[in-house]
Amino acid sequence: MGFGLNHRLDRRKLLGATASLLLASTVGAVAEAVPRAPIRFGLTPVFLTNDLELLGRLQSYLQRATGHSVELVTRRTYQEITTLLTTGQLDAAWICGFPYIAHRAELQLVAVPLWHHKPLYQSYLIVDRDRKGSGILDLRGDIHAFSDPDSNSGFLVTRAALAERGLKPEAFFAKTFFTYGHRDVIRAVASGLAGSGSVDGYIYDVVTEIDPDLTRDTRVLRASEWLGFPPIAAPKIPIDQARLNAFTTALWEMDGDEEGRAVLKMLRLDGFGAEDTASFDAIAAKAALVAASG
Amino acid sequence: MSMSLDRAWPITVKVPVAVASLMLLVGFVLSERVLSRLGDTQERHLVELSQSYLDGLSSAIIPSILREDNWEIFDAITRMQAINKSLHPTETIVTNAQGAVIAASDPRQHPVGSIIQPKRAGSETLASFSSNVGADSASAVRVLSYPGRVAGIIYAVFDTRHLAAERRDVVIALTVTNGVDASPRAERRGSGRHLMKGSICKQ
Repeated sequence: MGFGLNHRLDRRKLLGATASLLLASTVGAVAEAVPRAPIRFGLTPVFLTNDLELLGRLQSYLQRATGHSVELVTRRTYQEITTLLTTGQLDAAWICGFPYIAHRAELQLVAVPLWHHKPLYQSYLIVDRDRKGSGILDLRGDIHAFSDPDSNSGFLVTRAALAERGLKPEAFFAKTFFTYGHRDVIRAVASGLAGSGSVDGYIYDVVTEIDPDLTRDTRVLRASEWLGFPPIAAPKIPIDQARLNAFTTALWEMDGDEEGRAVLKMLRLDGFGAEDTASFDAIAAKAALVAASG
Repeated sequence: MSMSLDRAWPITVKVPVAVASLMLLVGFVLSERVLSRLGDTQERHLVELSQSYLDGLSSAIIPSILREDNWEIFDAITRMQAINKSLHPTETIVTNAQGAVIAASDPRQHPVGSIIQPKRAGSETLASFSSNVGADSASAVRVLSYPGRVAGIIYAVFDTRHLAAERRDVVIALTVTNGVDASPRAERRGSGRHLMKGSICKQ
């Protein structure tokens, strides 16, 4: 009898084990059949998005370095990319310091680009090459081109400089408009459509190097203090921690790879580093000043 | 007097001179018709191309003109001028309904907010085109209407010097042809002359 009971138990165990094995093998097969989700990386106009070769090589490097397929997501405005990022529709995005500060509670820093070996850049006020003047107050009554209302260098820095003097753009300038691209701010000033413009100093310097005709008719009226370079950020709760880790490592190790160095050379950057959020305190102070000025 | 003239001009001279004069007259009339047809054809093509240019620009800027978005309109003008180089657009200005410039192809010449003179802005029809034969430029105007009201106006100027040069070349070709035909030897080749003119007309 005992033998029979044991025998039944063994059969149950055997049936259970078989069912488990079948289930496990089925789940495994399904898992193998489902392709791995791509890393979705958002890009804003802080990046030179008009260069398709650059985008192709960046995508190629990231795919090889992470082992994941990578989808580059571009949008016209900073707001669109920031919204996609904060709502968990992107794994990471190259945003600007201003939206990073504004959404600090929802985002984490992934990496910060190094330009001239530092994670810093400036905002430039640019004017016509032959125009006199040396400070922002010389721009009173201008038609002024901003880049994007969520851009640090292309809006916030100038807005804060006016706020320090108790001024607002709508009263100080005759008219303002947004081009939604730093390169287009340069075009607006160079053509005479705008009398002055607020532009990312990194973009201005790189454009001067690769397309000097575009900046030839403009000059830098005033450069801001050094500020935190537009960072790569990810949602505070990542969509997939393993994917984000692979992506972060790929950025940090870009300067150690031949293809990665080629991408960095096209971007005129030295690499990507891990930086402290304190790098963006100056931008946070400007945002607070503007908020307080109403 | 006529008697002496008859004696001074023998029949062997009078007939060729009369034929040559007739040929010159016919040549002049045909040349005038050729140039007239050429001018009409050039103007028709210019009107069609300019309307196509204005159609493309209008559809690109209608949403921006309602917002008076200076950059978007300037960018659209720049792109349209770049892809319509064969039309030789030299100047494009977009104003609001009050004639204030929103954007122009040359912002230094027509700054944002400057007013286009009433004589230019007044009494414009929905689409008008004007050019003078032999002039260096032609102009076109398109009034952009949003249901019930004027949203803005596009002024475009096109360089037509290449068309004038083409007409000048045809005039030279006709003059040379008629000169050769009107020579005394032309009498023997009179039948071939009109074929030559026909080939120019087809061009």
